[in-house]
Formats: sequence, structure tokens, C-alpha cells
Amino acid sequence: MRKTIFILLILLLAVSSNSYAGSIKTGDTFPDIPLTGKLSDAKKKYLGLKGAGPWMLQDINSDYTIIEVYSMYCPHCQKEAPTVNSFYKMLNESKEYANIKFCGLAAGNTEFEIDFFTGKFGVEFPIFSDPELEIHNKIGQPGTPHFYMLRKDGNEFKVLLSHEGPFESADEFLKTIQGKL
Amino acid sequence: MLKKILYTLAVLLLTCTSVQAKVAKEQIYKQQNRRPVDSVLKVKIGDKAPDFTLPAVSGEKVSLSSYRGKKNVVLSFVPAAFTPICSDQWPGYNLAHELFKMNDAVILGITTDNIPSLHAWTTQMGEGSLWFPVLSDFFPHGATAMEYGILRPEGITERAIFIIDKKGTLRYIDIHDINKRPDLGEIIKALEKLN
Repeated sequence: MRKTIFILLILLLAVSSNSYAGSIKTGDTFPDIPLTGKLSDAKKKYLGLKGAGPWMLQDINSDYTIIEVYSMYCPHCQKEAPTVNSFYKMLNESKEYANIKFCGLAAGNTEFEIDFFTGKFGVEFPIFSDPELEIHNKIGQPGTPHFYMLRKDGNEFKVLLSHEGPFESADEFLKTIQGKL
Repeated sequence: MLKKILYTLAVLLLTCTSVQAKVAKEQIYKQQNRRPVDSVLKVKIGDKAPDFTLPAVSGEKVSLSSYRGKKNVVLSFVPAAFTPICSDQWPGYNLAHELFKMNDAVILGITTDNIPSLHAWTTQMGEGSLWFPVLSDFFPHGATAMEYGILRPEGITERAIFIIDKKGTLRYIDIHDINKRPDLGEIIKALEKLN
């Protein structure tokens, strides 16, 4: 009887962790992905990018980068958008975090859909497009929203945080980020 | 000891249930890519759109002809409830309500699933319900989809968009690759042409 219960317990644990199997985890290496998008001069300046792109993740001029993989079609991303905006504002306004840049990757969204989402929620951070999900596939098809905090490590990126799902609050997430520096 | 183990098991089960309720991803059935299109369209742009009356999740019956002279209609057929692309297509249209409203348009969302399945599926798409009617083409199975020529051999519909003007005429048809989501921009552009 006890043996059966233990087997059940192990199976349950295995099932609950399966949903995160494909995505890049904390401690992994993150690929140097290509970045494309319609960025204003101010947004390019924020990330230290020049020209019309496409750029590479390596081109972002900071030691740390946080990427939110999201979609206009994802109800969780819609609901969380104001909180993500607050987080970006807090990050951007503090000199303490000047070496951390924040951007979005719109998985499976067209430019029209990106524009609609940014207009609807007043998103101010830069968003890169991935209409055919090429980058999304390259990074293991994470669910949305998914936040990656990356540290530049030579030609590679170390994943300091891989967070799937909405975060609790902008304050709490900032504390989490601070703890990773 | 046995009691403790059973207690732990119960707590774990509860935890898993709550994660599933919060994160809909676990409820989504994963499937392999299908043939992009697997049916023969029976209507064309300029035709009168075939009328239908189907039961809605809300409990009422909805007829296409009831919008004649009042609203432009976007028929959004999606293949199946609880499948990956379908599960976020309508939440996107839900967010974009104002774009449809600006173009004096209503969406009718249709699948060949039954009403209880559609109810379970659509109520977890957001905090409120969807702003547009969700209709079941379940019985006789796929009869409306068959009339439009978009019922696939496996009994599901194509991922298709039909735009019908206030006169009841078909003005836009997109039988989309079933494995991909149609661009919202193209739908809105087509609606703008009606006005």
C-alpha cells in the first residue's frame, strides 16, 4: 500500500514538472538570438542599438538584459501588462539598475498586433517581433508570459532567472532581480 | 505514517489542481501539425452568405440573418476547443473589441464542439466572458461548416474567417493554414474596406 502511494507521489511530481520541460531554465545558457522590430530612435538609444536592424542580442549595450516573451493573444499577458509597465518604469528610473535593460519579444505577433498591444496598454519598453515563432522555437517554446534575466558572459548569456507566468508584483519582481545581481 | 502520506498526497493533488486552473497551458491538448487545409470551399466572395441558426454558450439561438442591415459579421471558425492556437485566438479578439466596434462589426465564434465543452473552454479565457457569441456547430455535426465547405475529414472545421457585410454578402474569405493564427491586421483592414 505504502509502495503504491509513493509511486503515485513520484508520478504526480513528474507530471507537475513536465509542463516546464522544454524552456530554458535558470543556470542554462541563452542563445544569441537575432532581434528585429520597428523601434523608435529613443528605444534604440535605450538599448544602445544603431541602424534599422536586424540586431543580435549581443548588440544590446548592457551587462544584464531582461526579456519578456509575451503575446497579444495571451490573456495572462493582457492582464499583467500594467504591472509589467510599472516594473519597467521602476527599473528605468533608478540609477541603481542602469546596467539592466528590459525588452519584450512578441511571440507569433505581427507588427499590427504589436502596435495594438503597445497602444492599448501604453507600453513604453522596446518590443521585438517574432511573427513566425522562429526565435520562440529556438528558445524552447516557452509559455507566455516568460521572463528571462540574462547576464552577458563573453559571447554567451547566462540565465540568472527563468520565470514562467506572471510575477506577483513589480516591487517583488524587482527584489528578485536585485537578488540576482 | 500512512495517514501523513495520504494527507501529503491530498495536498499535492489540490496544489496541482490549482496550478491547472491558474495556468491554462496545462489544459491545452498538444498536437502535431495538421495538413494546412483539408476541405473544398463551397462559397466565394460576392455570394450571399448561407444562413444558419446555432445554439450559443449563453443559452440563446443565434441566426446569421438577424444581423442583416444592422452589423457587419466576422465568422471566426476555429478547429477545436482546448487546442493550442484556438485557445488564444479569441482572447486576442476579445482584447481588440474596440477595433471591431469601430467597424460596426460583431464576431460569431464557431466550432464543432458541444456547448458544455465550449462553456468550460471560454470561461477560462479571461476574467469576464467573451464579448461576442460563441456558437456550437455540434449537431447535426458540422452542418454549417459543411455548407460553407470548411468541414475537414476528421470532423473539425478549418481555421477560417468570413466577413459578411450588412447586406449579407460575403466580402472576405481566409481559409487559413490550420496550424497558424490569422493576422488581426488583415481582418481589420478587410473590415475597413466595408465602410
